[in-house]
Amino acid sequence: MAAQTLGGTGLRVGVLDVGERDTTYGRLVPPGDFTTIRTTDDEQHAYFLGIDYEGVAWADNRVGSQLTPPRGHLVRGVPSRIPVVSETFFPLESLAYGGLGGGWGLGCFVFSTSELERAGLPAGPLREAYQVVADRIGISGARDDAARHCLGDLQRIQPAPPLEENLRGLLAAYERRRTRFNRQGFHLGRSALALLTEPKDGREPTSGNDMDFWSDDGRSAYRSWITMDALRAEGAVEYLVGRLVTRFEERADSVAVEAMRCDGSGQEQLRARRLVLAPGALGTARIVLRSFGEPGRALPLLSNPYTYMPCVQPRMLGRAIAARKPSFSPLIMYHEPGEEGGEILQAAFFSYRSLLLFKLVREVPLGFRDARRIMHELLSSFTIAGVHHPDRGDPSRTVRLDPHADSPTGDALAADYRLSADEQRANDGREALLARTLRRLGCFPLKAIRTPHGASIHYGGTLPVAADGAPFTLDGSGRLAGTRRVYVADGSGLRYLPAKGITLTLMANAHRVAAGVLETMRDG
Amino acid sequence: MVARCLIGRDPTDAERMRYADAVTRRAIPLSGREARLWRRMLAWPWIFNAVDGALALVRPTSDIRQRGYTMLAVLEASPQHADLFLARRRARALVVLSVLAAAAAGALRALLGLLVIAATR
Repeated sequence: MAAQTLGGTGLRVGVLDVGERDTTYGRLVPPGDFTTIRTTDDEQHAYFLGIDYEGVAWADNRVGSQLTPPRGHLVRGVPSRIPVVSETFFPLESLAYGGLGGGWGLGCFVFSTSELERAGLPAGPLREAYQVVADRIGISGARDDAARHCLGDLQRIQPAPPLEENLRGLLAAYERRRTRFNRQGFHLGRSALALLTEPKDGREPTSGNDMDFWSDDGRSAYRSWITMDALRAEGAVEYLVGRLVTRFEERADSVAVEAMRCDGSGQEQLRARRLVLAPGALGTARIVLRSFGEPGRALPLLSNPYTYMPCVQPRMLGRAIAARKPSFSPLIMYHEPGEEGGEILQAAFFSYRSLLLFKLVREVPLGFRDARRIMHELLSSFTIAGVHHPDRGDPSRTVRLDPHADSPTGDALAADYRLSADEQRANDGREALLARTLRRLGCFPLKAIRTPHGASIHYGGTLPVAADGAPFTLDGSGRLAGTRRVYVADGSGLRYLPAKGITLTLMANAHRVAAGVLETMRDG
Repeated sequence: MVARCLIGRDPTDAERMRYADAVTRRAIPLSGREARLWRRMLAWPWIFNAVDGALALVRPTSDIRQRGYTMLAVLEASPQHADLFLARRRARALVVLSVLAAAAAGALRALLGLLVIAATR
């Protein structure tokens, strides 16, 4: 998003990227809806299970469990090139063309004014930036009870896609007792998704084929590589692939950027008038720690804890699932505690089908024969509630660089992430409240699966925004303290992560920072 | 035989080959006690699901379970058996009875399987 703001402005903009891409599966996945493919394609095993059966992973690896073989390139090269060493934190990072934006869940959520302030972001400029991003990527949604935390004041929003039957019952149950739920602080409504329901910029509206975890056919789901393709086609940026940026050094009139060539041909140095870092909070932490020569320094770390609750809706037992439905979460629930400074609770609802039944079967503590029968019968009634918890930060949660002989950079990111007893209690309380409310909606949680820390794939806070210019902080414009020409356009500066998706805010902030950099270039 | 135990149908030749390929590629060797247990399961198919059920309780991440899981995935990713994995329209009462029957059968199989595991040294 920063590249889009900077590119095509008359400046020479270079994008350094490792740029891993899918070279296998894009041509294997046929057009068509999930049910038709499942009942007709003899070659479906190739992409559903993977050429190397990588889609039949057995290790308990819930981080990134939604990564299907066609999305496997998102994490290619990560363990070897940018290793993480931790017993408590298990992040998912990407070196792919377009980064993790190639596989995000499309949920769009504006931060409230208080959330922006807590995070260290200026409310006014962010509101404008949200609209710029919405106009670029295309968002669909509805002005309903959830809109305050999804769409906010965004304009030019496309209509929400049709709601699937599995979740229509949930919404109907809420609407029958809306007043009572609202009085208790609960609001349920349509998610805002970066998913087109009308044509835009050569991209097609969603067909509801429920193949979105396997293919980007029609480009109806916004993926960051779509923007990079467009920028390159326009000649707005120079794209330098196969480079892993390792460090920078600021000089009198420029920034020297060092990158490791991924083809093994050595190091490369480039010079720029400005450097905008946006590999993600963890990637930026690595580069900054090396550049300032303090690899062992502990930087703070924020990440939303994430729990998902598989549930059963008895009203849906024995129903068929419509052939066409979107793969993404179409329904969202909020609880606003009512007291000043209280944390909202957000739950996103999904039905389950296109990630295949065998993955659910292993969660049942019975033999596969009987577990398959049970899950097959329950499939249409299955609903998953995904819950993020906030992170206000804690000194015990940190990242630093430790020596690592096997790493091409000679180091690895060491991370520690633990919740205090109070934080865990608060999270447990939120989950219990959600479970009670779900039961009142006729949706019965079977269990709460607390994913490993890092599984939310929401990271921030490693270089928190601060007014005092302290080392390893950012100023309000995103400029790295101690530098004149280095800016950070990812989540590194966020001092707080509310319990909601952060991608739209990250994109908006990236645009804001880049727009500010542009101003400094014009000012000389 | 594994497919027949899991879904009551024989695999196609292609599915059989895919399973063998997957076990090789995913490196699911068995050794020691698990190998002996696996040989018994193949020799006496009537205990296969019982042992699998018991392992689901006491050793859910065992390599034997991984083999069963792999076969299940291979069978699902095939149009021949899509009817066993895609949601279907059914009377609610039948769904409830089917779930209860499967749960009861699974529990009984697991009990039997625990005895077999204990007897296998």
